Amino acid sequence: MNKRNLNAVHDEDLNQLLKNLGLIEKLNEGKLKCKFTGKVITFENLYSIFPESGDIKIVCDSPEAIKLFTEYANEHKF
Amino acid sequence: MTAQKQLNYLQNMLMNTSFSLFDDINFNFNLHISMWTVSTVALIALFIYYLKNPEKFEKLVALITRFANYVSNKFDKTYIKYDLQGKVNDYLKTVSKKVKHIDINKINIFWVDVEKQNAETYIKNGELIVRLHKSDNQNKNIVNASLAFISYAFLRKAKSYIAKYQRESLDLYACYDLLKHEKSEILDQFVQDFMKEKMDNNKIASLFETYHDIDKAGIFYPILVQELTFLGEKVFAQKRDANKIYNEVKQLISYLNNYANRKLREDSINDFNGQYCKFAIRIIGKQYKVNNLGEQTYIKNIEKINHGNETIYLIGNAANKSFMKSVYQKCKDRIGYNVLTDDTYDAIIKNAEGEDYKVKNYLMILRNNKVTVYHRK
Repeated sequence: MNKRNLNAVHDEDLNQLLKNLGLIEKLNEGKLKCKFTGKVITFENLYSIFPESGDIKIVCDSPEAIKLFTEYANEHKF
Repeated sequence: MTAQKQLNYLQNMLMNTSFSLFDDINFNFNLHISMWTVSTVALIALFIYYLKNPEKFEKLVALITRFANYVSNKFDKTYIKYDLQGKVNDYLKTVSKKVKHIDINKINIFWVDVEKQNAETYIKNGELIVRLHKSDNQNKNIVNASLAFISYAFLRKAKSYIAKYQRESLDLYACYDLLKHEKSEILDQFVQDFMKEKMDNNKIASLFETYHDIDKAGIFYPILVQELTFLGEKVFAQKRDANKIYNEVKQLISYLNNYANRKLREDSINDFNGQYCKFAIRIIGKQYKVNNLGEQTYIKNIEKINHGNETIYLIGNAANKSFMKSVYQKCKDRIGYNVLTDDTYDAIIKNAEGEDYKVKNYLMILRNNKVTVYHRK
């Protein structure tokens, strides 16, 4: 059976990743929104990050967002 | 005798054991079994076991690093990675044994090197990144990763074509099945975070209960998921009518539910003859038939099955396993079906009064040689 990589970031590295991607200020200002639910993204509820159409999209960890996100990932062959 | 003397005595006895059965025949054993030899053999056996079962090795690494994590949190990432991989990959291995052609890959958690990331290259070439919490919150990691993985990878092709409530109910049930053997806190988190809300939808709740009944009868993966896998392979290359597929899947689930709830000795149900799923279930089980009428009755029955059926599921008590194999061997050249897989499984079926009782069943899946697969990979 083949293996499929799932890229992950650990809690301890998340802050650094957000800094490197230029997102930390927006996060602190409450300007980042979930692509699927529109909820404000915080350090606690951030679930996933992915690039799309020249931008970086963020997903929150609400059940609905995770569900919509996986369907979206499926359709877009992530 | 001191402990050391007892040990020496035992060692000498093992190293030079002899006994005679008769005066003229002597058996002499010269056993030189040291602790070193025993350890080496055990290590080789363990190595082979883990080589064959990498998901068990992942679970072992998770267990070791879980304890190491109490000493130093340097092991946190290793524990999270292997705990998740072990659980998901173990489930996948079980499912892929039960369902043939299932197009599903094992999971490998890859920690991204955050130092190498910057906005410009990430936007151009970046890939999806999932956040995993510290191991204090591992239950949440397991629940989130399991649902994301099941939604993404389980029955991927078939789910593109079935109705949303059918898709969601299947994901919910598969995820529940993945997590039900884990500690109760994990299942509880799954119920609180995902299931409770979805179960407010009557269609999803009703299907979830139906899957539960079908699974109790041991045929959720070997027949329902198997047929959906075949369906996914097929519709890829054909012009399709979405509503027809939705209805066919609805009928398939209802058909298998009828089978799961049939009482002992009730007549066999008809073949399932849909546009995409065409199969027959035959039960080889009535003991008086097996004992008194023998193989010929079943051979004739199988030969009479409409050859338009793409799959035949032969189900019987595990005690009839060799009888069933023999029946198939004697008619295989005439029926044009090959054995796709076979398996023994535990099932709960209904007795003549409609009460549940446990049985050990044996299932042979025969696949028509003429079936065209349009899209397997």
